[in-house]
Amino acid sequence: MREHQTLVSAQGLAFSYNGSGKAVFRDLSVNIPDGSITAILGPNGSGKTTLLHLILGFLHPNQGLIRLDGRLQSHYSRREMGRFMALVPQNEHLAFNLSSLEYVLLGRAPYLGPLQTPTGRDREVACAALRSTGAEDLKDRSLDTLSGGEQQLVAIARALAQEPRLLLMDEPTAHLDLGNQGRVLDVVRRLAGEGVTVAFTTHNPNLAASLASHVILISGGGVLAADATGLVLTEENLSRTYGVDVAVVQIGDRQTIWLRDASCVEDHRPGAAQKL
Amino acid sequence: MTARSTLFVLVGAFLVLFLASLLLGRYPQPYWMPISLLIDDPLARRLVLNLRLPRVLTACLLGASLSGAGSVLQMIFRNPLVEPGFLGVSQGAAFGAAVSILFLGGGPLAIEATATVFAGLGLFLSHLLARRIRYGGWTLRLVLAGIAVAALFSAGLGLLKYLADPLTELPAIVFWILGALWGITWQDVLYIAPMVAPALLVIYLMRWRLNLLSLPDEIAFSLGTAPGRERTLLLGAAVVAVAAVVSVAGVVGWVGLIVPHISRRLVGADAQGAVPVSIVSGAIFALACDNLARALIAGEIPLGILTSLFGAGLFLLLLTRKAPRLG
Repeated sequence: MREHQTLVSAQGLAFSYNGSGKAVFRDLSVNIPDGSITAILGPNGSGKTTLLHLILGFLHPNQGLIRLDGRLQSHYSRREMGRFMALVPQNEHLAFNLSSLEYVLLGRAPYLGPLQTPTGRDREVACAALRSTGAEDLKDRSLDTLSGGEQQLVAIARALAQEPRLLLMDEPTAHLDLGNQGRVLDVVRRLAGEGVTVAFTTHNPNLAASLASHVILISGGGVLAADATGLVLTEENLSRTYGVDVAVVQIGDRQTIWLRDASCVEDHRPGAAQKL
Repeated sequence: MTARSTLFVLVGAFLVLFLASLLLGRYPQPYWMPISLLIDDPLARRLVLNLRLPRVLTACLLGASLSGAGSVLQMIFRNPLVEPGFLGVSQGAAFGAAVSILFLGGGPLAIEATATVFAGLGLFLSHLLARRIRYGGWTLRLVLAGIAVAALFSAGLGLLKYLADPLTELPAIVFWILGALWGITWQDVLYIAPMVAPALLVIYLMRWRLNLLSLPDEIAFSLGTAPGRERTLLLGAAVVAVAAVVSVAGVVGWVGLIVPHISRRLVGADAQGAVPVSIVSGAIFALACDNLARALIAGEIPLGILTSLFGAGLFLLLLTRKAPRLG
């Protein structure tokens, strides 16, 4: 595996909601390599989304430092951060019903002054973003007429209109059927090919295995393992993280993760395992 | 029709209505004054310049402020049912006016000053309380705090009404609360214009950003905004405009709720188009209602009654028929 430069580095993060409650992280250090597709993998409630929000700067750590491209996060202005990274949340509830194009245009905000409105050039960027997610036909449709999959593609286009170096995605395929999952994965791979670094959270090791070049496995408030995908997704790591007996099967150059049936733990026949 | 051409049509309609309103009234005979009279009759000239013009201007500022502020509040609170009565502003102003009528003699300037002060106090208390509530997101906390503060002021107002002299002070309070532009002078216009004009300008210039501020916090943040700071600035502008017009006109309901609704129906939800349409439509709506209030019968009909009547009627009409989105 080629050595990557580090785009995001977080050192010694401690965080708890309300400052005094139960700590989500006590001492967490992670690196996101430049140009990678990094999965933040962990069980439900392990703090995946919290980590994403800390990188975004939306939450502030009680302790620790976050560097974006070598520079301290706190030294970035709000607009610089909007140009550096974009967020695609898990699901987005909009109170008002914009058209897809109006919505994607919001991604141009970090390039506009507080009193400016979008220009023709912003419109071009927004249309190009819709094109690159294959959602150009949806341009004039209002958001509430879109299916879940279409909404996700439009949300990604909105993030791309920010022309970010880092794309943060929270459970990017959580509510999508197989066809839409495939579409979103294609878009993410193409973006990575164009040099955008992608960091996404997931609780599903199979999604990490099929999409990510790197995996950060978090559990119990710390990092259990962080490295290239093949090195992290081992039976031992995953069994410890999820507290169940996990089988990792190599198919071609990719791992597939199965849940071993508790009643026949020693049985390695394929029929005895259940896919996660 | 695009948002832009809708806006041009509305501005045209507004200008026609504005000029017609100056000729509308009950002098020399009910409903209409011939234009030639302005040249022949010095009394007609003085009437138009000193009584009708300031009142018509105030009606425009009132409608524009309430519906502009209504748009801002609905977007920021992500709730299409919010109006400037939220955050304790209107109730604060009403309480302030009653205090002035009861204890400070109730001169017009005294009422305006105390109403403005208490409207501001209402917002300040809502804000302070919202910071202390340990529950829910910022928007929910602000709404909860606003409801509590509004209820406190309403209770205080009830107490003042109970204490008021039923023959003199009580009617004055009730009339003020019903809302009216009766007896508006140039002095009133000069008092509210310096507050309303800059506030509306801020709202107009930042209209596109309202779209961003209506997004959930973490998304607005990820788009490089400073949601807290920008929302506070826009809310401040909305409250200043509302406090100013409420201090001279009393509580005029429904304009700030219904006009932003109609505007979104006309040109779509994008605030870049909807906010200017809302401001102009608000001026038209308030001006039309005030024309009826002063000219329909020999006496004065309280403006707040007419805006509530037509506002609620339009609202029911909108709710029961599904209009296609134009634009």
